[in-house]
Amino acid sequence: MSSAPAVDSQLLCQLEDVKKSYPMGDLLVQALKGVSVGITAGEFTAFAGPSGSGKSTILNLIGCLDRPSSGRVLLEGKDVATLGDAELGDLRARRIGFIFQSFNLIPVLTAYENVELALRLAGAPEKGQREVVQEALRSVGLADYMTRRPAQLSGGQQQRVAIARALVKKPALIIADEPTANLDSKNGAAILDLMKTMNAENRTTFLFSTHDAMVMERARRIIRLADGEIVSDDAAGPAAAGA
Amino acid sequence: MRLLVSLALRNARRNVRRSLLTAVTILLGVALLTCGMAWTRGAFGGILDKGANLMGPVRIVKAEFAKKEQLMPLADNIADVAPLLTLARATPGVTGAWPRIQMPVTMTVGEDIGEHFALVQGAPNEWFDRALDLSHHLVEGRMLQSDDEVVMGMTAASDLGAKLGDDLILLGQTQDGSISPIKVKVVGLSDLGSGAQNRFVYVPLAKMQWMADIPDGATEILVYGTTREDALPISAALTQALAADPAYAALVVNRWDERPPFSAMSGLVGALQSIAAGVIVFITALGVLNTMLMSVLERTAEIGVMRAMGMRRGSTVLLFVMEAMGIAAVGGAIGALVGSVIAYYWLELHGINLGNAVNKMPPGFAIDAVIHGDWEPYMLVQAFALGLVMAVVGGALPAFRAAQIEPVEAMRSRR
Amino acid sequence: MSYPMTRQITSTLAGALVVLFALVFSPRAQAVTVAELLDKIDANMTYDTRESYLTMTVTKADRVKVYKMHSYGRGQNEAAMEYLEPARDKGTKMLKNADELWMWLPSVEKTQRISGHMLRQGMMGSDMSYEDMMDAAKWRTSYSGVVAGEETMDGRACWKVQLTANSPDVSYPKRTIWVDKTAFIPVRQQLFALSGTLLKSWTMTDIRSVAGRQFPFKMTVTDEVQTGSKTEIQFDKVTFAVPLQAEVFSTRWLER
Repeated sequence: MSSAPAVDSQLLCQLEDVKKSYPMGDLLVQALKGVSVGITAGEFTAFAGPSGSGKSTILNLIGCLDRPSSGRVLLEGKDVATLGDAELGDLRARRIGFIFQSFNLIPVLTAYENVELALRLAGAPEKGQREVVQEALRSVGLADYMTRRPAQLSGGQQQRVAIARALVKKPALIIADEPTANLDSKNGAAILDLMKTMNAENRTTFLFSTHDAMVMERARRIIRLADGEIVSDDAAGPAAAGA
Repeated sequence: MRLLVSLALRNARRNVRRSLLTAVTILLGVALLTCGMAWTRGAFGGILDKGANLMGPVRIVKAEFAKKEQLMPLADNIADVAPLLTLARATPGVTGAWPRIQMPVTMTVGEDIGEHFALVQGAPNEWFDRALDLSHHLVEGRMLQSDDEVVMGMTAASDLGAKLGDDLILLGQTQDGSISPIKVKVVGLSDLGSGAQNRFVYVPLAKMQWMADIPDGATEILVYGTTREDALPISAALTQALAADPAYAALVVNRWDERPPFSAMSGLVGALQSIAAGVIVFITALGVLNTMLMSVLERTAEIGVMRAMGMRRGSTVLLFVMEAMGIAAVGGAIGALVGSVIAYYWLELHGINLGNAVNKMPPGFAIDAVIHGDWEPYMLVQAFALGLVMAVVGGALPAFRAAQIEPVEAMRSRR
Repeated sequence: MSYPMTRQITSTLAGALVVLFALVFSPRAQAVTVAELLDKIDANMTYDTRESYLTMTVTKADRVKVYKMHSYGRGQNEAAMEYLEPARDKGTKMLKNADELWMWLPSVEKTQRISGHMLRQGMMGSDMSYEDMMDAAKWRTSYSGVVAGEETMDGRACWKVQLTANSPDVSYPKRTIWVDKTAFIPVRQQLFALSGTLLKSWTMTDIRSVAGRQFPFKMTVTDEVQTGSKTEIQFDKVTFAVPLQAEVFSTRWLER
């Protein structure tokens, strides 16, 4: 099932016949071969597929970390190609949060500071930042670990800090690249439930790239990819009804 | 910004060994700079001081005299020096002013008719002491006490074959060009350390005035302050004072560094110092560049994440430059201190003995065999600042490299 | 008269005119003139013996110095001079014989030979150099030249002659002289460097008859390179054919 080709202003994000290739040595690898999809605000959607299917590439494009080779990527109605480097940076800082498979916390900063950095880069006013950061950490259950450095935190705790970091600026969209891959099932489940709650409470859109069944169980929409193309797009996954 | 600084400084401590290496590189560079500054200031300063003292830091002469100076034109003299001396001595900052007549003469000792030339310095004893410290450089005999006595530079004496106690005839000219001989006795021999100055013959001013037939005058009035840097304000004040009186319209005031050979030199010395400093900064910066580049390459993913979070390229550059500067601050501070200690205790107080190399210097450059550095507190600050410059120069390239990292790297490098 | 006759007379007259023309304006006649002139000048300026008293006034920009001297001369090569005034220079003596020039300095009781670079300096600071003094009587051998015309100079009819030195060690490579036609005295001279720069001008005036010869009692040398510098020599008394003792022109005379 594919979305209408015309620009739909209701959509948070829209891809129109997007192709992406990048060079690997002398070869040109085609990561995406013409993908069109629309994401509405508030979705809890998983991109699934084997390695090399292009799911990470799609998230990169949606997250404005990269540009398409052809086709259009629209974010909140705006064509990403028209935005300059600085504007994209601003967009990412304020509207998009990232959660990575390997947490990617800054090792020399404390949990508090990692979250604070994200808030700073988003350009939030100085006043009241302290409270906001603390609240973010509290909401992921790490109120007592604020002064710990990543090296002093467990995998699950680190990922929670990452979530807090992604959420603290109240973004419209959170992109999570295999967030549970480095966590045990207990922590993984806890993290996912946390995200689900955020999605329910704040209407934050969550987009996942994943192999993990736990993620797919909770997703309300599953878009499957293979060889750079969408092969299926189930608007109502197994958990859809339980949203 | 505070967070950025904090982050930068903490990053500096991540790889302690590497940061230490960078710091030591900067330490050495800064210490070397400090010593270099002290050395050139001392070595050149000594030459410049001697030159300035001999030529007179500030000089009043007739404009015509200055134009034809190479010919030493006695006819273009200041006929009555007394009022000008009073004027000069009353000028603020002036510690002394004296008249001088320089004249090339032929020298004869005994019965031989000579073809030996010497340059006579005719001046009062106070000038000989102030400008040349002559009484402390006598190797034989004593200073001048009466008008019929002379002190000879030892090279002039040995060229002529003259000894202490000999009667000399000096054949010069009056200001009108008539041949003018005087008969004098050699009462002292001097060694001022330089070949050229040891060919001087020192004659009392009164005798020179008679010889040149310039009864109350001289060809030059030399004016001194406390240090040679005083030349600038003194010459400005004197120029103004002379301009106010039409009687002095034919006179001109010039500074030692406006006259050859120093007029060509001062720019040269500054240029040489800048080049030397530049080379040290560059080499040290290369060391910094090397270590910083490694840091950047190691932290590619992390930088990608920060860029993904919205950090601008400019901030990324700043982050790395500040990291380098943090290391430089530590290395530079210690380096400046170490360098200052060496510069002061070894270079300035102890000095370096050049030995025989001194005798091969060109005339006009007077050097002692032992050269001392001259350390000044400002060098500590300047060297430290240059250390920070090293950090910026060395860290700039890696920093820009870091800024080029695309956020997508955050995703890619952990596959 | 018949036509052939007229023609004969005309051609004879024409022929005579051509011969006359050639005689008057032949180049051969000109070459003789320059050598003759130089001989006559040298003859006028030399003598067996001469004694004179003279005053030399040296003017430079704003300073004027007056010297009084007493001098002896014999032939072309020997001259002796003693300064009488001013007091500072009184007793200073100069001696020229053959190729040497000596000076006696009374204040230091020393004889100094003048040689090398000193020869080109002005004597006592005047515009006449020691060399000028020594070269005076050798024009016939030192120079050759051409007569360049006739001009009136200081009210006297003169030949203008351009001389070029015969060898490189002559002090003035080029001279232009105006020779009085009757007195055979170079009343005016211009002395040039090899480049053509005018170095000095020399005039001889106040020409009087003394013992059967013409003698200029006043000479003025002007330095054309340095403005305001000139030297005037005024002879107060000149006597020729004076009996002189041989030792006047020896270094012993200097030291007496």
